[in-house]
Amino acid sequence: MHRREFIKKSALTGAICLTPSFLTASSTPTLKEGLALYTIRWSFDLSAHKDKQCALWVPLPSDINGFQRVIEFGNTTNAESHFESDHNRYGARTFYAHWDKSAVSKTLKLSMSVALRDRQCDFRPKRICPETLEKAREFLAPSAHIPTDGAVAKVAKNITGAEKDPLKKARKIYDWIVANSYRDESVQGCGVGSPNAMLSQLEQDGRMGGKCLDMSALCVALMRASGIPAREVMGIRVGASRLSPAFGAGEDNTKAQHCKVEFFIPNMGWIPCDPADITKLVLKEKIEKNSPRARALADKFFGFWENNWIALNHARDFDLYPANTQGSLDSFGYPYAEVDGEYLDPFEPKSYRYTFHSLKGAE
Amino acid sequence: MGKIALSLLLLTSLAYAKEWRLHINGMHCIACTLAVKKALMGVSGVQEAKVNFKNESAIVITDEKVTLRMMQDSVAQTGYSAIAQK
Repeated sequence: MHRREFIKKSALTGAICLTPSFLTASSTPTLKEGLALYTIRWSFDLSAHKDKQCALWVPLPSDINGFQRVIEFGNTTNAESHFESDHNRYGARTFYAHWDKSAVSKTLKLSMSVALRDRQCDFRPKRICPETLEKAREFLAPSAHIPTDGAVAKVAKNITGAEKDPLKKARKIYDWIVANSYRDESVQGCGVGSPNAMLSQLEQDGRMGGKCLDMSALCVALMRASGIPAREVMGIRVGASRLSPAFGAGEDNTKAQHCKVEFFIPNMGWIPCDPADITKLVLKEKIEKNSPRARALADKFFGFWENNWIALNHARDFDLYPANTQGSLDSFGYPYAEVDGEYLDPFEPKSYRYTFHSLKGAE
Repeated sequence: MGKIALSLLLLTSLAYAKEWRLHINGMHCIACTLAVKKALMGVSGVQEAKVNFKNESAIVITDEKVTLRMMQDSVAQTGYSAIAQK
């Protein structure tokens, strides 16, 4: 066995050993089904901005116990200064690079290997340490883009009614999002993630159109308003899904950013879910929401993340480190860049060239 | 000859360039700066516009024909508002 292969296999074994009890229950997939290793390459080129200072902040994946482990990480760049940091309110791991205006070429290449395991919750009670409980309570608070009062509070009350059990309340909110929203392909990127904008649409049109950040943000706001700690998790699909091409299809992931949700139940811990991908499934496979397939996957995605998506961070309405010129970011799923202090549009490929590729390795 | 004419044109435009400092209302995230910038650059005679979310402001370089009203109307069409900073 070559040294490189040995390191990767050892790391995978380590990831399994760290898996918490709720992930090793008999209902989880077999080891072979649930594990995947991806070699990921991200490339950035800001050379089009001649005679201008450029700064780039790239969100990076961190280890998540039982789901994701970053095995190798490397960079190649001609930036004047560059470093890795998680010095921000949410501990969002970031790669920062800065080029002086005199630099003719401004490029950055990042490479990493990430081991992923299906994250399947079995909803069995387990012991949660007081520190985790305390930290989870921070995700009850509103933020600039996540209100918990006004229309959000009113709708949350209507959905949950007299229900007291937090897990049942969370399920009602999840089902309500799936039932009342649809994927709007005209929305740029992952959407803006404004719960109030979604609820205004519902009031006017009787349903809500958006993308993953819009639906996830609304889900989080409604859960927080119902007393359930919750957060959006920005990430990116890195490979084909076993369940549907709608959930990830290939090796070019440049436009594969996707936001999911986590919520916290005091005797179970953080539980994954993904209401937005059900609306994508319905659109891409041209099936009805109440079809057996959509209903089965909606049921599965309450408590499940597949191993073809890497989580980046759960940061919202926060300040980057080092500080940028434009101020607080509303979310950090896309690489963020400034040219002479001005925001660079991540959806403008002529001035901001970046590509994300991944290759599935050992299984 | 062409280069001389171009240089004269550039010098003339710089000589008559005017700098505006605007306060922008209604931006709720950094991406809003793109829409405001596009609106300002869409006004005939605007040479450069830099928009800042943190300070809710814009610095705009225009030729002498551009008025505050022209920029305000263009920005208003995108759902934001602009007023001159003192």
